[in-house]
Amino acid sequence: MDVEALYRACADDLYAYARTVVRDPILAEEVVAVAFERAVARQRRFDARRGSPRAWIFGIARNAAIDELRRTGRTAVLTHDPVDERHPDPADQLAAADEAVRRRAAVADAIAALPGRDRELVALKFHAGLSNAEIAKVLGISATNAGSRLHRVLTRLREACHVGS
Amino acid sequence: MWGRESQLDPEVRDELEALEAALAGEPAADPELSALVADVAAAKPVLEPAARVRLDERIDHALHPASSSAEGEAGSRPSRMAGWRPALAVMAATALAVPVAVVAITRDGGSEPMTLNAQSYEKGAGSGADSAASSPAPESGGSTGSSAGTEGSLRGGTTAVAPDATSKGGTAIEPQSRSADQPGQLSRSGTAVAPSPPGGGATSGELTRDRVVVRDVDQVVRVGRDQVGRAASRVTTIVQAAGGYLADSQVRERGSDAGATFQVVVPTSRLDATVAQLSRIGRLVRLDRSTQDVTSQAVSIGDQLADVRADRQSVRRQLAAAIEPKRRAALRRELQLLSSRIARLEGRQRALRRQTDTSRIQLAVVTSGDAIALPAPDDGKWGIGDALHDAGRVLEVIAGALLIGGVILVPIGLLAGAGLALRRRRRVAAADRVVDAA
Repeated sequence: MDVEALYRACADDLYAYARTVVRDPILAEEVVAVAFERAVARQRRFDARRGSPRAWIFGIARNAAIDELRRTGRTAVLTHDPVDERHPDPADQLAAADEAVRRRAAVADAIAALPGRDRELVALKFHAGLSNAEIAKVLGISATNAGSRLHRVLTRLREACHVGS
Repeated sequence: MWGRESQLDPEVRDELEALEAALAGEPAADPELSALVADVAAAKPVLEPAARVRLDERIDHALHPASSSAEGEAGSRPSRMAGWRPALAVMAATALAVPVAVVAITRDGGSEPMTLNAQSYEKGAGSGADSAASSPAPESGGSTGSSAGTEGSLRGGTTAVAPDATSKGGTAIEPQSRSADQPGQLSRSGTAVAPSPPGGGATSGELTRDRVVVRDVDQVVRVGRDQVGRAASRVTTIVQAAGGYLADSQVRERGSDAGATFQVVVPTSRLDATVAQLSRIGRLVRLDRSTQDVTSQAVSIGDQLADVRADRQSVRRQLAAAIEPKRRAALRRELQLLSSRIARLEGRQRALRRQTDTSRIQLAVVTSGDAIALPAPDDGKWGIGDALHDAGRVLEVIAGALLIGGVILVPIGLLAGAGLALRRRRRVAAADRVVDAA
């Protein structure tokens, strides 16, 4: 198991996943670092027959994220500062004019509004590009269950797009 | 591609396949899904360059532990399973130790009669005398010691003997059970055989001083095909000389089934000497001794007799003092009842005494052609037969240990499996709750 190569290949996806789950850039950075530190310590225990290296590192990252969330008192931190309605951002006003940007914003809002488990699925599927079997491995559920949940999330995102457009 | 997802609803499966196509950027993919994929990808959090540098440093330290302490911290963190390993090891060791101990105890329990035999021999050994010493070849081959120390019936193990061969050792015997003069013999099957208690009246006297026992012997002697008649007359002579009698005898001097059977009854005091003499009429093939302890029965009859006699004496005194005819008649009836009861008890006592004063020998005289299983003469060397025998015993013990271990391990394994599955399910649910709460 080449953890260094795995880090180069997965660090960005892992960060995206961690940030989607914990919703805090500093915490997400910590999760990624801890995940790879644990991977270095446990690299001899990796068994390729039990799953791909990506599924393995994402499983470690998930546990690290859960540990971080527990340590921070189960209170998630927002990824960005709340919007001050009294002073609208001029950039937002410009962007609102753009249909595509408005759709993306709607999707981003929809993702942010999803429950933690569904957000996690979005990160694993859309950001990290894991297969359903790998997602099932990471989450400790069956592939069928993973597929069902993914379909549910997809439906919600579709609805969000329709609302956004 | 979907593996077990064939269980998914076809519509769901189609939707997921369409999503895969959109994620792969296929031109034929659903445009709406492709747009959604692009929108979600646009919302992907990006690692800032500064954060990237910090991460690179930490990972570099982790990958090169010489310059990092973080790795040691992470590496030294024990896994959850590590805590379970000692407990699992202890459980496994216990599960193995218990059946082995049970088998060992069971085997020790099986050797209990050996100790009893040896004790009974020791008890009788003090009286000295003779029968075993006076009949070295057959007798030393293995009379089974009687059990003077236990209630109920104890059947001595069958002892097969050959005149010129000592029976085969192989099972440990209590050191104190061996006598310097007449060491205990061990049969090939592992049954401990104490030498016959010193014969003559001393034997019965020693045994019956504290205990009342009924003794029986089953004996097989082999003679030449043409020597059945001579052996039968020898049996008659020996039995008469011992003051006993033949309760039953069947003799066939000729033919393919030549042989004889005798039901011999001799005074218990002469039992051992008679057995020794009968053993010498041919080649002793088998000798079984059994002893039934009837002490409690004898004591009970004696106590009842004493009580009833005392009652009768009392009734007699009352009768002598009574004047009223009705009272006298009632006392006489009671006296009759008591007398008949005393008679019954005395009858039982006599019968018991007959049983203990005499012993029965079931003697079979067989000829050379008869198939009697004889143990192979032991040359004192450890051969292939001994190896097979020992291997069989080892396999028997292993099979027993595995069986008992299975009986213990299977329920433990099922419980542990159920516990682990429940624990894993709870952990997954707890993790999901934490993620959901974020």
